[in-house]
Amino acid sequence: MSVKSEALLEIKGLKVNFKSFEGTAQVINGVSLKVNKGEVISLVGESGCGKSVTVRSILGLVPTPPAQFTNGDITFEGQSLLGLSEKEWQKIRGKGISMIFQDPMTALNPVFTIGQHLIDVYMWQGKRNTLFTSMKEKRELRKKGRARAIEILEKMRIPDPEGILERYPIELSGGMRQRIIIALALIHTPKLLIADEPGTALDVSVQDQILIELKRLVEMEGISMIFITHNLGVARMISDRVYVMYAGEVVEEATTQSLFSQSYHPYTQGLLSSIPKLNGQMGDGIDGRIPDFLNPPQGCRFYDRCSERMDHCSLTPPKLQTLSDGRKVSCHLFAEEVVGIHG
Amino acid sequence: MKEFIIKRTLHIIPVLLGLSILIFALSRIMPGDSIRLKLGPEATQQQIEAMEEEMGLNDPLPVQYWNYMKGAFQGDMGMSLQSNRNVAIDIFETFPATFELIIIAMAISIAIGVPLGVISAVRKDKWEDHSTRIVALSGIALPKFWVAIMLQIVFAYWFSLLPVVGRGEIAPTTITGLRLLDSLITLNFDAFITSVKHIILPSIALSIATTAQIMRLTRSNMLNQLNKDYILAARSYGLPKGMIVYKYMLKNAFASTLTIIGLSFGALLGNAFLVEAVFGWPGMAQYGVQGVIYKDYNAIVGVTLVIGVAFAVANLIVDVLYGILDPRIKYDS
Repeated sequence: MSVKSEALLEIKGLKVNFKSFEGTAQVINGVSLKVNKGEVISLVGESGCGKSVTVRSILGLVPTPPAQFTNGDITFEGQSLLGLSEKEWQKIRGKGISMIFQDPMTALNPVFTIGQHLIDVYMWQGKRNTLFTSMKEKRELRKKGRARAIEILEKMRIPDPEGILERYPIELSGGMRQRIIIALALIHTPKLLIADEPGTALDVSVQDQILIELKRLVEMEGISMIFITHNLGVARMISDRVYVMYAGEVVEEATTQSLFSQSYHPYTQGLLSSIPKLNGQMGDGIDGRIPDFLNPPQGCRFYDRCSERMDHCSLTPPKLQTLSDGRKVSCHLFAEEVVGIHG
Repeated sequence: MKEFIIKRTLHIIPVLLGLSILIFALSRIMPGDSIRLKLGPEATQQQIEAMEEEMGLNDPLPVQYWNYMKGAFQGDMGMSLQSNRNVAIDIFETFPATFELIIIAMAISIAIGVPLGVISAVRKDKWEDHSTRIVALSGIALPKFWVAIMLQIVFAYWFSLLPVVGRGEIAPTTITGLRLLDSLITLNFDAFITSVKHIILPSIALSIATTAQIMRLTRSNMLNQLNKDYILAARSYGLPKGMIVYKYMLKNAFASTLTIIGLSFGALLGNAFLVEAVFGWPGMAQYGVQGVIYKDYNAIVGVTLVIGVAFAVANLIVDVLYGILDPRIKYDS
């Protein structure tokens, strides 16, 4: 992957606050990230660190209020997304950028068949259905939608696609539903796919199959992907680059290969050590919890839990900086003069 | 689906059997002496005893019940003390009027309540929401007879737009007893217009509380849908907002609204009496209440049974529709 590839999506210094009765929660605190064409990136971090809010912002699915976008910008193919009208969003959603939801049990509408889901998304993405839409046009679109639905289900290697179209979500297994959800996101072959921990709710072997399938499809169609996970193993398997998020900030960014050969940020190291080993040992884990977003610490947000904290860490927040080897990390340990020691 | 319908239909039988026993027993232990009321203060003891014997009131209760049910299956529901006619005939004449009124009131309630509920949910905490909620709350709080009288004063008396009482002078040939339907079948448009004019005010008065209830329920069910993953997912696929609201959310929300519609059917039958009384509507509800006042045993039991059957059938239809709307129901049962 060349460093100068073309950016498909770019988030710069995004800050999102949530207003509530207790005060203002600074949930996303200056996140920047970039997805190049044809690239798969992972967004890794524990629950509640702002992964979902970040990606939902990309699709305009964060309700304002209570959320406020106080700073930063999101650009997709050079177009700024923040401040789009609902109609303009509708054109991008599903076609430019699509999303796979986390829980296959709740992401399908229980009272519609799989066919109705797929065909509606095919027919009406970015459009409006009015009384004056020609019936003939609708019929033709529906026919095409059905054909496309069957085609995408076949691509997902789902047996008996025609039969599946008549089924209700309740009649399908979790793994099958997850595949349908992926098919829904891919029916218009989007340029960017956001996968919000797909398969997490399924058992490991099914999850594995689905991820392999997803990776194959994305590569085949040349789709870029943002993959959200708290599972570093999955991130390693699927992505080219990894962003590690902690408490609404990106703390480390690196290519998958370099991150797994040597991680820099103490939080990343903690995450890696918390993976249970197959020899029966539990991982070490990281003590403590994510800080309160209503009153975030003045200095580094990871200070309380950090094994290598220094005095000034609690006073000044670190900045995401590029090191001499091209990697990015947000930690005072890597202030320029100490790069040599740790690098 | 067929199995589901048959099963639900069979459920009705024990319900109606229980209802008939209960109502029959209650009507017999009700205080007051209907025969004395009927024959007047001049009646002699012999006359009263003769009448009691004639009506079979001296038999043990189970025998009376058995005889009554035997008759009822052959279309004989006993003699009415008010009209001196067979109760079955009285009901046959009055039921269509009430039924027509209730159907129209129900149609109005659904046609107004559901869209208002949707708008109120989609525009939550905006002025549309606040105003519909105020209207709905008053709809529930205001007594029906008061609303009925106000409607009469405003539309019939002040503006002389609509008639005050009755079902209208021009009647179509009776086929079903539902005048709107009969006049359409016989292509009698004068009768149709008259019938429409006469039914507007009473059906509105009757529908107001149900409309408010349906509106409030639709609103809360729709709000519930707003937070569902599949609705967020539908937005993420770029589906148009109108389609998400009126198709994806409403189909889910309407399934539970339907239950209330079935139950309101019973409430409408009960409330119909007040409206019928104010608008001089010759319906069964009024007949039934007269029966209660005059201790007209047979009329009370007859009317209650008919209401029970109507209520049970309405809820059967609701159950079946529910099964069609929400495939999960079929699998649960």
